[in-house]
Amino acid sequence: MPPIAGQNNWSFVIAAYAITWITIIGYWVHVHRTLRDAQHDLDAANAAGAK
Amino acid sequence: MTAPASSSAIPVPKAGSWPLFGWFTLAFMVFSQWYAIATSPADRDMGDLQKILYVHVPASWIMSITFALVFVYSLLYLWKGKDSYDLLAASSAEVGATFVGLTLVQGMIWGKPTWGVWWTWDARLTSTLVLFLVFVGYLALRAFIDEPQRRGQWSAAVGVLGSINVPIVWMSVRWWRTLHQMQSTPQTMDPTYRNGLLINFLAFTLLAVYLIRRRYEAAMIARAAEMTSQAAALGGH
Repeated sequence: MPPIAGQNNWSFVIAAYAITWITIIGYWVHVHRTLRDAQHDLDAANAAGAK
Repeated sequence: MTAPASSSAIPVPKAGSWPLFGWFTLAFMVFSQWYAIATSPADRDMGDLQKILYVHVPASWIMSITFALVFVYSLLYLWKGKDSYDLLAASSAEVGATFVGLTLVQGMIWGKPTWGVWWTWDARLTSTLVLFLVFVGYLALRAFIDEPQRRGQWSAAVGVLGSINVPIVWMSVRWWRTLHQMQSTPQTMDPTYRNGLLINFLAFTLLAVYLIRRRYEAAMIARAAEMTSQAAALGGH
């Protein structure tokens, strides 16, 4: 690997951390929305079954 | 008269203290990344680019463990036929596909200043891309099949076969002459950088545990809702 230590590569470091957090938070939100929707469906199904 | 349809017969996991665990994990991730960046000097060869390894290597680690879980739960499903194994495999596969996608993008960001290109058909990169596509296919397959048992069986077969690619990804840097360097592990790193990597391994592992558990919880609740609706529909006739 050629030495690249002398270059300023902070923009790449920032981009890597930004994409990491965008992915984590994006997937986190997806999981919680899925959870909320599933709970809503279950409540609706239980209410329909109790009628 | 039939009894009212209810989800009581279907085990629905409770959230319990998992939300608290999730917030703790997020806070721990912020701390571990801050710690790694703050305590690591610029590398002799890579300079500050070395800091990308603190998120790239743990993300690829999560990729490996999630697909190992897919392999185990898929086999268990084929053997025992329990729904919970199918849903655990599917939850692990979704988290794994997310992290393998992230690993690829992080690698591209690292590759551009290091190799001069965003992408090259190197054995490590190509085998990782294949792994990503296999698990995107796995998730698409699940979306296309409605009948739970058939969906479970087909996806378990794909899960087992797809997970076989994980050791190929892992060993690709040893089996072929690749542009990608050998694995960075705590054993191969200078002690200056080791603690930062170890703490991020732990943070990403906690995150994966949390995400798989909550995704599994959602899948179980969705399955219970589906079965309750079916029971209500049958009871109405």
